[in-house]
Amino acid sequence: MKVAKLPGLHRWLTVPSTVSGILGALLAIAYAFFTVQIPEGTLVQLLLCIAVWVALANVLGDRQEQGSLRTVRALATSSVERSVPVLQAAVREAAALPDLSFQVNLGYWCAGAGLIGLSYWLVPGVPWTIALRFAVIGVGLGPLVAMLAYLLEIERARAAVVVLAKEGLSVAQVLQALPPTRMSLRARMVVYGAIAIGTPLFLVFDMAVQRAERTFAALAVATSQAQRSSVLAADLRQALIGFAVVGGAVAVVVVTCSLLSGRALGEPMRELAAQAQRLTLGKIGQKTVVPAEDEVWAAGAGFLALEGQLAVVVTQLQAAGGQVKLATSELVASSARHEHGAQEQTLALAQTSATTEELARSAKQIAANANQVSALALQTVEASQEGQHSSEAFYRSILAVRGGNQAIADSVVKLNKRVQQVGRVVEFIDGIADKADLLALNAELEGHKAGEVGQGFSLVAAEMRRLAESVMESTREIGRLIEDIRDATNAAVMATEAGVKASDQGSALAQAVSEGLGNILKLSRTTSEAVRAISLATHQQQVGTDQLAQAMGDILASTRAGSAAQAEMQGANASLKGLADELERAVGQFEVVS
Amino acid sequence: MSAVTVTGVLLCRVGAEQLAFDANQVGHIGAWEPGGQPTAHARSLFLMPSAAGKQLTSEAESLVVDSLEVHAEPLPRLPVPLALASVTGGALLGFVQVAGVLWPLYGLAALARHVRQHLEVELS
Repeated sequence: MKVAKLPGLHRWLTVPSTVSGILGALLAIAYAFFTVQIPEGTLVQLLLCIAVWVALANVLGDRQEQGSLRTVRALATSSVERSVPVLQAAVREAAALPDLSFQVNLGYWCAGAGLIGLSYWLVPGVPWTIALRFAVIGVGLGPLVAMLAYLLEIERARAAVVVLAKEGLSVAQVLQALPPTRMSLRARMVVYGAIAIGTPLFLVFDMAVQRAERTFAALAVATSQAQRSSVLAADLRQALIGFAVVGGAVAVVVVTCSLLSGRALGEPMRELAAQAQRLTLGKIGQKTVVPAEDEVWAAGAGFLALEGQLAVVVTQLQAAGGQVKLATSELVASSARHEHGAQEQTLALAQTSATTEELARSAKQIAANANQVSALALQTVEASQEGQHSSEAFYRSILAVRGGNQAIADSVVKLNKRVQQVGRVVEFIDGIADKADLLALNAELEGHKAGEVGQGFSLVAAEMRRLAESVMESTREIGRLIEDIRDATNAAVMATEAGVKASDQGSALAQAVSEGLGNILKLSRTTSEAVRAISLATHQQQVGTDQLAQAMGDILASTRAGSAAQAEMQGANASLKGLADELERAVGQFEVVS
Repeated sequence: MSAVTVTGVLLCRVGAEQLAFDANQVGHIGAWEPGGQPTAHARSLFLMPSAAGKQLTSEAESLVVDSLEVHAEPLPRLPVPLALASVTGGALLGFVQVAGVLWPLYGLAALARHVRQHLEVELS
């Protein structure tokens, strides 16, 4: 068959309808020639009627079919843009054409046959029975012609779908344009069977009836046995020729229809089988449209969907296989590392367990020490209390000492003042003595000047002078004593002032010591409470550490068990890696063409 | 030559030094304090700083000594060697011996004058 192309596609699609109409007309004429006795002088009119109505039916039918291919025609003449919706509409038009052609051919054949009979009846000298015979023959051959047209159209319609799909439609878009919803294969086969069987039966029956009537009529007018024999021989010969010609033609048409119907069914099935074979070879994704109708189209659509899904699954499976291989490889490596780590963990846990036991012993020792510290803290509190009491007593004593020192200082100051007064008195006495000495000295001098007369006077003056010198000596001694007393009192004043200052410092220091001891007492109480809390916590820690040591022993045991299980798991992972390699090889046999 | 007797001698002490005056030449004995009336001080003769003492006054001159006592017994006046006659401006009159100790005997006015004239700087 000539390969379809988009330019002129609409004309190429409707050619079989015209061809089948012409073939049907020729078949009808041949059949009528052998079965209908055409009145004398009406053959030309008959042929004219047939030619006119056949031509008219073809023209009208072709116009109707072309009218149903508007989008295809527009695409073929490039009068519309090749968009997806336009192409989908064209696909729908091309796919619907065979059914439309069947209906158009059947309708126009029946109507044309009736109009031929009617117009032929209008020819003078043509009985209505003869005209009716032509109408009946036309109606009887109509289904066969329609089926022939359908079967011829269906291949071209499929080819047109492929051509239109190549213009820019994906498989999914073709399926979207032609959803596999119509499931009428069984009804269609029933119709095919009825036409393929009914039409020959009708024609043979009609021919037999017509030949029988013609033979009986000839025999009725035959007068002799020889004439009857001659009539029978002539009818037999004509019947044989008629049956041979008509039967052969009908057989050719029926066989052709059968071949075409078988091809219409078998071709897409073969294509689907080829694609299935391609799938079995692992080539997935080369999705091509397999044009068909009804259940076969649904099967093809399902196959395409299955292939698409299979491509997705195989792609995912390939990716998953690669990932599974990679994961299993990593799993094997990780398992090996994990096993090594488990061994190290076991060693570490053993060391940790030993350390924990040591920690438990240390916790016991710490608890004992904490108890001792708690007792010492209590003693510290008591000692701090005693120290604070002593400090307060010391502070009071310091205050008393300060008061005593202050009193001493005041007394010493008073004494110093008295001593100073005494000193002034002594100085006064000393001055008197000095003057007395001087007077005595002058008196003695005058006594000596007086000679014998003043000798006694001089003696008295000398005595007075010695007395005055004694007084002066005494006053000097008193002055020295006063100086000593003054120095002593000054020293005492300074000492008492220093004592007061020292008492002040001592009292301040005692107060600070008392406050410090108070703080120490507070801190000691806080420390005691803290130590008590520490002791309690240490006791709890000791209990917890014992439990920890026991738990570490359990963990060590379970870790050793886990290490053994890890070794088994590593073997299982190695087996899993082998399976992953096999899976990758199996999936790698599929080639997904994107 | 017969020795001259001196009756009534003032035995004066200046620091560790000692002087003697004829009691008849002393008119009055008074007290002198540093910062008092400027007068000749016997301490100047021995380059010692002035100090409180007794002021011996004659008719026109006075001299301050540290201390003094009156010796009433008559004492022979020993003569002055010629080499020493003009040492103190002629104030040295001789020597008297008291209890085995030899005291130079000066004229009060002459010694006071000598001190005042030759040690004017120190006095001022």
